[in-house]
Amino acid sequence: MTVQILRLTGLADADAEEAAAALLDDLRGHPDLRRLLVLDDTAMLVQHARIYEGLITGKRIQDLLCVALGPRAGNSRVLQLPGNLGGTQGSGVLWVSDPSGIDWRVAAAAIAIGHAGGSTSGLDHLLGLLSVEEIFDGVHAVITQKVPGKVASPGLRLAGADDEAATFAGALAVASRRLTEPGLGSDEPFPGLLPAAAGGVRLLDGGELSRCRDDVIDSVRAATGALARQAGIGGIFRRGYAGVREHVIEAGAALADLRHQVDQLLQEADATGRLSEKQHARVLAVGVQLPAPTAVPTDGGTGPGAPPQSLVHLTIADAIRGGDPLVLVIRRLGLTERELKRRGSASYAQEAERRCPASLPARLADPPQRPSRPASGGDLRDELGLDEAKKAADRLADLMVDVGNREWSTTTPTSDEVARIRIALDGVVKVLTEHAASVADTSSGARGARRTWLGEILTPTLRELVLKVLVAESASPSVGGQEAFEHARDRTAGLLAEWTRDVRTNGVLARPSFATFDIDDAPYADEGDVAEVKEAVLYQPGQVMWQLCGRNDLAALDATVSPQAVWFAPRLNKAALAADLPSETVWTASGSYAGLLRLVPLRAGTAFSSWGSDALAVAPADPAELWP
Amino acid sequence: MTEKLQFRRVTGEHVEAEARVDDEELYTAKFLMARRVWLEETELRQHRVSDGSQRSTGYDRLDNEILAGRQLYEVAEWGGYPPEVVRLYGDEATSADPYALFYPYRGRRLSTVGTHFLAEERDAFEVSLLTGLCWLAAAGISHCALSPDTVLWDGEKRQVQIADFSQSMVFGAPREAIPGPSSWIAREQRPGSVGGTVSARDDIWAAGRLIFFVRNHGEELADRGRLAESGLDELLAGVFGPPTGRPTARELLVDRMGHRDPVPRGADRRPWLEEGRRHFWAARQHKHPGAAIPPEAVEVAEGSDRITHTAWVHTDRAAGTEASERVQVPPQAEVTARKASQDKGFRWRRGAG
Repeated sequence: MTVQILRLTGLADADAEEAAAALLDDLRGHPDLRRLLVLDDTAMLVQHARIYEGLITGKRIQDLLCVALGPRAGNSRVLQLPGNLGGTQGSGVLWVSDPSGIDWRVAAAAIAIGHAGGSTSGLDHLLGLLSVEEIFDGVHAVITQKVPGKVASPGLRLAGADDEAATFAGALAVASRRLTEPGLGSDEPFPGLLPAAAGGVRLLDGGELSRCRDDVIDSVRAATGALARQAGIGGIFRRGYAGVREHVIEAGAALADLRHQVDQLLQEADATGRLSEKQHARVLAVGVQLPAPTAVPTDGGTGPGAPPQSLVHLTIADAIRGGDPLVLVIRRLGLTERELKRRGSASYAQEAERRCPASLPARLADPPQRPSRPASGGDLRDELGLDEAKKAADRLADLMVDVGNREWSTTTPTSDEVARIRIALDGVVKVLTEHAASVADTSSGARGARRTWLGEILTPTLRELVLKVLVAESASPSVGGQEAFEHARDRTAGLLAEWTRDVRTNGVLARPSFATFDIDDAPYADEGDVAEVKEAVLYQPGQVMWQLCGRNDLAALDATVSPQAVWFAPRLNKAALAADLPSETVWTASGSYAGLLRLVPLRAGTAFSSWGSDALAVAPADPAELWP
Repeated sequence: MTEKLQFRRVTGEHVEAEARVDDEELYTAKFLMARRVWLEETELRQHRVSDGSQRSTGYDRLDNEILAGRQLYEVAEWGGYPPEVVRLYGDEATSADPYALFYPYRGRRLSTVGTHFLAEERDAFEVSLLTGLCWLAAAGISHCALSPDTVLWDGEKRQVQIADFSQSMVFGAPREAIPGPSSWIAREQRPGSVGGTVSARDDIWAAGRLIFFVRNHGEELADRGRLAESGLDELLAGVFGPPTGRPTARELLVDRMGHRDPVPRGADRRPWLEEGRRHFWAARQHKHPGAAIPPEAVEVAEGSDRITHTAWVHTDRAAGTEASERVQVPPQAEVTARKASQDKGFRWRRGAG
């Protein structure tokens, strides 16, 4: 819904008629003409009678207001109107006899003082005000219901309030800057996404690998026990040593078996992507337990409050909601990604050799026939390699868990999964940065304070917008990195546009569709700003105001009655001001004003509305005006 | 807008055709300008020399693009042109307003998309970049200015496209200083430390840095210690050392990464390529008397009757006029005379006899 303006001022009759007809006919370009504001020359109103008739009977206009510009025709003291304007049946008329206006108090004896205005004329302010739907409706209601003859001279009292849309754009820029500022914080991978934490792999008790390791440990323990017993009865004798030797050989065989199992598994389950069914079965068969895969969002991330379920998303959501700047999150994702690169299990063969050199089982399998020299139990244990065997068995078992977490686990995020989120965040940051750069950084004065305040309030919601984009990427992963970037960029821009539309309809504090919680609607409490709006709105309508009227036309205004008024203020300040302002205050979603528009009626008989051309010539004069 | 174009196809035939042109400027090399043209339904990029005081540099750069494009065409055989390098369609190399026509570039500059790679794409990028360099080596050309701005990435096809041959040089030619940031120009090509001759081991320095750049999400290599952290120390061993000890692109691709050599065996030694190369040298000498050529080509160049002429015409290309003056210059004075002429805004062109 909008207010359409039809400008007839300065047009020849035929052109004016054509302009009006063209507007009525232009259903595509101007689909909604329910509110029409006509700007016309006061002296031409009667001549344009047919135009007004056409407009009003054109079946497209619900409410019409006419701004009549300039003095009355000729030297007439009567404001002559066609039947469709003013009177008892016509539309409302705001008579602006001088667009520059004067400062004037509503009193018969009051004098006119020149208005020290800025670069914007009073007429422009008036048209700006009446272009705001809520104010148009308010003025239309007052002038048609409360102003005698439906003709009035407008007077203004304005406070410099911000346009809601501009305030929102500025606040969004503040929130965007906050989210995209260079991040200071721990520059390290996300520990919860690393294989050791996310993999969930363990060796099954009783599985092949565990059994091999346990055999090594049991044999080492038995050998150690035997050694201790021998040492306890006075030394290592040949007969007793034979029993020790037997256990050492058993330990060597078990370790060789474990190493063999490990080597085979590393080769057979070698894959840089998902394991094949056969490989998966092989891994399970030797007792490496892999966790079940976790669920991922199924709603495409489009529904409000879609529960993010992937580990990557949960981790990133925690970081972002916790206040980490997006740039820092991107950096940490990059570091995490590097740790998650799968190399294939075969690449760990050297590591297996480092942890359990092939020479160790061979050495254990062939221990010396007798101790090299009389030795204590501890020395002999070292000489036989028993401690080394136990450590090697444990290290091999640990290696299999590490490899399982890094290479085989389906719960460990893949580097591509993390990369997509990183790239998507990059796309989000690009849009937010561009938005922030497109809005001037107004950080001073009441306007700056208001934007900063609102920016703070909107920041959590903007974070939700970011997460919404990431959920969508997780739910339907892009094929390539560039696609992930472009999707995220487009989704972010789309959600920002949607949010802006929501704000236009429901105000800045309305919850957008993607948010999972209401926006904190703590009232804006900048004292200076609120006071300025309050002062303008509570101003007495009879006091000195900027009257859009010429000095010579003041006599036509009825200063004996209190003028009607329309109060207006930005919806943005409603929470802070509602209790103090008149209940009739019009709360505007857009428009750059707060304040008061007064409507001073004309003296009785000054305005004359007639349907017939004959009547125009015999307009009754107001005796008071003829003989002041 | 339409324009009549007369040019030589890279395949050799002469073409005269009405072309639809789009005056919107496309991104291209310094001192050159690019725009779209259409020959019937075929869209092409037209590269021309920019106006301004550096127009003579622009001519040289356009010549480099043309000569590299022709040589790549010769080495790649009909129908088997590698997608990893931009493809010349034709050129008009001799008039006052010369131009080159290329098939449209594919992909976007790495400086824009270098942070947007998934693991598989990174692998594909490395293979594709080295593949492109193998083809350049087969054509005997060093790009000399590889950087995130001259290498494109086509995410859909997962292919690199090496663009902007405006500073390319032939193997064996004395190196010339390449202007630009030191992050992408090897020491031996930097102003102040330039030396030696161009070889198949020159481009690998910048290629190695590009590989690091993509692996590390757009980070430039500032410290070689970072190679190990990125798992690149083995692949890029020796790449950043002196040129003589560097591996070639083929060695990286085939020996270290285990891929096949993309260039068919003997492609760079085919008889018709030898012939083409001879024309290449002759053309270069014809257009740039005294310009650097590799030692092994001197004999070829000296044997060409087209370069032993001593009658020269210099043409004011900027003014669009032909043959304003004819002068006799002995061979030993060609370089000096050419330079003096260029300083005056003229361009040399060999005359007949």
